[in-house]
Amino acid sequence: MISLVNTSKWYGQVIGMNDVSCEILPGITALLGPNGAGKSTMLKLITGQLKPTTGTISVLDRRPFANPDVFRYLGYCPEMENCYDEMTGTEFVTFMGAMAGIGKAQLKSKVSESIEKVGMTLNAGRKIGGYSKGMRQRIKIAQGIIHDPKILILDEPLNGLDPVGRKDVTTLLHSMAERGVCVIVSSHILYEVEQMTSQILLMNRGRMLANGQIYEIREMIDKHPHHIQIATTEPRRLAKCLLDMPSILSVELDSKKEESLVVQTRTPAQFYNEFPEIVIQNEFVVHSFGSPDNNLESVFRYLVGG
Amino acid sequence: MPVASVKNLTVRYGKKTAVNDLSAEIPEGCVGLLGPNGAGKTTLIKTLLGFVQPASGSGEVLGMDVASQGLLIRQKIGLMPEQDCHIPGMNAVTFVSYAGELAGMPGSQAMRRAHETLEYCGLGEARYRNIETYSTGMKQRIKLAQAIVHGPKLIFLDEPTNGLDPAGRDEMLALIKDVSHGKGINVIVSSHLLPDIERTCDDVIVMRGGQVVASDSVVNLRKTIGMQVEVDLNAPSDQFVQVMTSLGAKLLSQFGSKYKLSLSSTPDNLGKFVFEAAKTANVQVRGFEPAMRSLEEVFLEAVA
Amino acid sequence: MSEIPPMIPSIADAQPGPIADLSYRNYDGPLNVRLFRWWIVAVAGLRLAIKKKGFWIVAAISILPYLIIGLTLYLSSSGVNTTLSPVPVGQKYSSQFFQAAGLQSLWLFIIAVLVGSSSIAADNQANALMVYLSKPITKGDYLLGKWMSTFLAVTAVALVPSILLYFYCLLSFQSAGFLKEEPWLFLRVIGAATIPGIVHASLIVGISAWSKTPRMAGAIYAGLYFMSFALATMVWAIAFQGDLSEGVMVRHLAIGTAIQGVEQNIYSVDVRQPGMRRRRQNKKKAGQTGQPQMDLAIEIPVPNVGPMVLLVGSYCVVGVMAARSRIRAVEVVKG
Repeated sequence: MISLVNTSKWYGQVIGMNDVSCEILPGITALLGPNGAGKSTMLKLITGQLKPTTGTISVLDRRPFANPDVFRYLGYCPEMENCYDEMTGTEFVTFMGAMAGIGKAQLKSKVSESIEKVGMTLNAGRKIGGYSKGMRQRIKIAQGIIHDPKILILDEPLNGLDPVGRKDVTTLLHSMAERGVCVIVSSHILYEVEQMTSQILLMNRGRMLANGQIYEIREMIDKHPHHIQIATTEPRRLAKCLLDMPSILSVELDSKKEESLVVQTRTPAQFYNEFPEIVIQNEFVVHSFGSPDNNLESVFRYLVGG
Repeated sequence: MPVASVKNLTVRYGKKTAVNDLSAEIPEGCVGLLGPNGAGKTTLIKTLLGFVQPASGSGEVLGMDVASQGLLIRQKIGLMPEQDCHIPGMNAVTFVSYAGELAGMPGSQAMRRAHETLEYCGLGEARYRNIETYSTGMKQRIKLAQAIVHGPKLIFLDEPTNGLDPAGRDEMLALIKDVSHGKGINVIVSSHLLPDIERTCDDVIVMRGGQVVASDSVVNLRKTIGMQVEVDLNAPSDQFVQVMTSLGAKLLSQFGSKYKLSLSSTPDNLGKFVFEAAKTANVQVRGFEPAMRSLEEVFLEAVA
Repeated sequence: MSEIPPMIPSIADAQPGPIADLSYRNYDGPLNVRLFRWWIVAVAGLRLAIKKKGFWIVAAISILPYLIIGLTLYLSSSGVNTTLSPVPVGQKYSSQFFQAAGLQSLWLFIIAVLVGSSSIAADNQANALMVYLSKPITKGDYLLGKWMSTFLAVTAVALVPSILLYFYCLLSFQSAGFLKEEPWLFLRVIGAATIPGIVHASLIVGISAWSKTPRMAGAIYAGLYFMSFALATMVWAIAFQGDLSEGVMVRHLAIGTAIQGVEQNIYSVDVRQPGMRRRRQNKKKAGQTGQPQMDLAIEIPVPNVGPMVLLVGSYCVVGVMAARSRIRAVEVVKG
């Protein structure tokens, strides 16, 4: 749906995006990266606010820059909060819906539909100036989805929402993704992103570092061997056994936790095959085992560095 | 000895009642304050800061009455506000030492302490630059520094990881955990990010509609009824579920290849139990651990 | 309480040894009571002000009027014929000081804008009141501190050159009856120097509290200041065409002229306005060129103390109350 080919964008001397090529498909894709990584540049390029300095970007097979055609299929929920304080929620969504090209006949019903989807029916009649942070977020999402966009872009969509609200919005995004919408979420809250999707697009310093499934990416980062933590009643005996395995790089006993050890391996798949046998054969009592860095935070940390 | 408490507290803003007959005790250590928007968290914090004359009931912070000793209370506590805020025209050092002086520190001590706290919060040479040039992460750090400069015994942190990227969030949470354990400072954290709370807090208070609906230690709240286990396989497998069910387990939830099951009894060797079941079902186990309820589950249940 | 906070060992093995324990310790030292919290706010405001180059430039210019007056006095005492009009005994030096104060008034206004416009407006911009919110400081402390920073800046700039001139006169004109004729002059000088400070501080603190940015506050105050002057002067000239000295109160309604009115009371001098008279004469007898000033100057008598003080007082009260009502963040919610 969205494809970038050797896209670069710089502002004078400052590089916003450096030679990025990728495809973004339907479903939820998480756009991640530290502050200043180029995420907002990416979003601005997709929404047509900026034109790439070199390379091409196409959204739904069209060039997005200053192309009102594309906007009809695009929904955008930016991060900024302060706007349209004088309008009520309903007025604001109606206004944005009209701008998106919804005909007058359908407008009213679409407005109430999208306001209901975000759970703002009770408060839609109040002025936005009096809204809490969470309410502003919801009304922002309402205006982004009112025209049933094919592509929905959200910048920190869960900001200010309480856990109930977060769950609701996550569910809403999941349902949209299931219908074939391409949802791009830019966020810093990694554990939430993990619950939404496993497809990530990671950027740093204007370059794209990774684009794909979290587990695949993790497996391919061989610079950092996998750490696997094992809680057992006999750490030293288990350690001796494990050291015989060729797939193991090192075994570390935890000085703070009595019944724990950490194993490093470059071939986790092999380890996962051999380990259960060792446990069953030698009757080791194991309380838990797992790789603490099989998650997004670790992938992020390893790729972004520092 | 609770660090702060309110008894039968009722607060009204004009005609609107924000909290009604609220009683709560804040234990020592690091406490998380949770609740949906409008639950009364902000009102509770305002009351504990001494800004509110209750319509009825009483409150106490560090042994001081909230209705009559508001100023004294504010000398012994620190607040890290959620919104962006700073004093214009100052750099970090001047700002933090000014905050210290406003809290009553003598000038000489304030400057010295400002440097100490900024060092602790991880602000190096940047402390001599004007605050207006700072990144979000740095601004959050100096907000924390100005809250602890005058040696308060209790600090309130309102959404401390707001706007921070993952690395910054990591560091801020580590800082909060460090400050609240072993430095003699009690901490109340108000946040919507439940994993943040899980990571830093020992106790949790959940509010809803101006009332406390749950108040316990994190460990207790997360205890499951009966033995539960989370198993992570290399691929989804119905066969595994079948094998486990035949061994007396019940499937609670599934997310991709992650399964949460409750067991009929606690096995002596959980590892052997899981591995044997996996062997029978011909799947690879990537990890397993005794399951705890996530704080999100606890929260959603409490406010439902 | 001891001066140095005690060492709290962080880990069990914090024994004295060659490696220093630099882990964080909480502050356990003394904390003062609230008495002079406003002073801290005032000092912070002043520090910000004296960093500005503009402040020092304008302060330097503000010395000029007194320098000029000093020069005039010196020349007249050396027998050079100056433009000093004859004044009743006991007013000779007072009138000079009053004149200098009048010449300085514009620069004092600029100082007030430089220091005072950002006092609360910048805090509004930076949301600083959230920081003040958690400290043991009341609305009154905050307001007093902000008021003080402008007051002290303006008064200092007004006072320093006038005190210097006073001592110059004391040393040079002792024999000419300086002290004997005008024994209260010293007190008058000090008193008059505080008036611009009081009025400017009160008004600008009120305007600053209601402004979102310092620039807006400065612009609004400048607008008010000059507009009120223009209006008062126009109304005075038009309404009292027959006899200007009748409508003196009207002239003193503007901010700048109100300050002058009170100063005139303090100094107890009569003022002659030769320039106004010349224009007046031209209006009456067209074609006749104006006579150089000397005799027949319009006297502006000392405006009545009562209404003057009331006017100035009400300006100050309005300013301060406006500020008070606007500072909402540090308020106490009742009920």
